[in-house]
Amino acid sequence: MKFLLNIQLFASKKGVSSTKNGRDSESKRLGAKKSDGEFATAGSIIYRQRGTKIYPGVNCMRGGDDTIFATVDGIVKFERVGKKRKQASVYPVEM
Amino acid sequence: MIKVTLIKKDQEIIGLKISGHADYAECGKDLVCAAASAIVTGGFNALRDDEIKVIHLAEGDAYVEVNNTNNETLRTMLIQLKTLEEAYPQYIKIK
Repeated sequence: MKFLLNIQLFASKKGVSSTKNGRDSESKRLGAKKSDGEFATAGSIIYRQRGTKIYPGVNCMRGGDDTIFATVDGIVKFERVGKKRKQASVYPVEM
Repeated sequence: MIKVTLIKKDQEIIGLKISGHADYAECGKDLVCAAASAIVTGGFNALRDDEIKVIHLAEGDAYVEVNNTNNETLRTMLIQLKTLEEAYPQYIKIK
């Protein structure tokens, strides 16, 4: 035969489904960087976060990007405050 | 919508131009397109080489011109396309 049959010769191609999704941002590796009971030096990061999932407790502060970091050397403690809140504290180790 | 244009010479039909998309359903499920594709491809294949002056078949675009007037294959194709138009006037138009 001169021509092979393309049974959808006069079909619109836009029917071919395409998704507009399929994009995602680079993951920011948030979350705990020190675990409960672990030793942390002053200035070391304890928790990376967006907003305040974890609040700064004793001997801890919150950075500009809400990162919680230690202000003294000591042992990290994650504590519950009230019903819903959690905080991270650092307690110096008595030598 | 599929548009079928009659090519005439001295009021005699000597060719057909078929273009456009049926848009009856998405590609792969377009019944009107399938019918038109089968009619056009089959008709083009039925024409003998000595009858053909110009012939072209591509996605969404088909064109044929024959040497002789009162060409029986062309007449058959036209009747088949008219039958399809009768059933699906919103998706195929002969003018």
